[in-house]
Amino acid sequence: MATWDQNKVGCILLEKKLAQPFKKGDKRTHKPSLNTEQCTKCALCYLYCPDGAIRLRDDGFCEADTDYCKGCGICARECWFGAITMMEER
Amino acid sequence: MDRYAVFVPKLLPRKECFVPDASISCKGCGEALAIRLVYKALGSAPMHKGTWKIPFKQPVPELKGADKDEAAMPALLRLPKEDKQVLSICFDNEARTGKNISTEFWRKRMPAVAVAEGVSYVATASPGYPFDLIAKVKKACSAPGDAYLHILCPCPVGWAFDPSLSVQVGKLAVDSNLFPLYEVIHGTCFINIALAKPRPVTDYLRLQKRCQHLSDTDLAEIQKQSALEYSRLSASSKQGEKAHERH
Repeated sequence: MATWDQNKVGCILLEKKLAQPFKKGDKRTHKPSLNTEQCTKCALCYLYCPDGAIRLRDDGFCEADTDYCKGCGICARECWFGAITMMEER
Repeated sequence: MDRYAVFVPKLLPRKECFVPDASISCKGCGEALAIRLVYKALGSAPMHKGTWKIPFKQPVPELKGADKDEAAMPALLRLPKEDKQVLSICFDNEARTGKNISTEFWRKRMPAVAVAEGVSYVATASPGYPFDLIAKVKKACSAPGDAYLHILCPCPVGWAFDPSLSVQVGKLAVDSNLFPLYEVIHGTCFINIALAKPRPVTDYLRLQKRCQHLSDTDLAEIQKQSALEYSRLSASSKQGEKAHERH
């Protein structure tokens, strides 16, 4: 899959629907990280994620798909137990 | 685990109808969240590769002035039906208020127009209260006759607030009574969330940079008008019915 840094200056897309091959999470600055000790598996983060990037795993924990997470931070703010923190992307 | 009131995997279907591949929204988009919840309630019709499987109509851009909502509404409701029931959902991100935000911008006339047009089920919803939204979409599908849903979608780019606050802003719009959640079934109005102590509108408006220029007197005016409008609404409604659980 192509990444946004391979794009031209100004992120110009010259053809229609050329944005499709890019990953949606390439431009984020922060990513969520889960503390499994504080997590109660309530899945509120899964409910509130606007991009559907958080997946319910079989063991009950929720995992953010880093391909699609845009790093908005809604999950970290809505978690009642403070189990999610936003880490700076490296 | 049962002692928690909110335990999402028990309350919602696991099937994900929203394809994240096709989502070209900004981060923290309230509209994407609302669309995802609507699809979850409908249970089918996945959004795929950027195309909508459901008829989609942009608001009429040629119409200018304050009456554009009212003018667009009958056109929306006069779709070719052929004896079918139509569920129309308006995702309102208040984009057309633009820079002309006055003390009147928060008024939502579209549900009132839909009631006047004779739509049998009209409701307002906000992604800040997701279970309420999902319940309303399911109800609108099962209700006899046409249905109209008005969903207020917080827009972090247009309203200029932090993307992580999207859900909170959606909640505050309801909690400050600027966007009361109600449903009108065959002309009878029910208020879903009736708050004993609404939050002041400054909590909601001061979060957004689009309302930075509003002076304190403007905000006092908005507070007064919204209280008036809300009392008018609650006077015409039957309270205590169908109160959804707060989250």
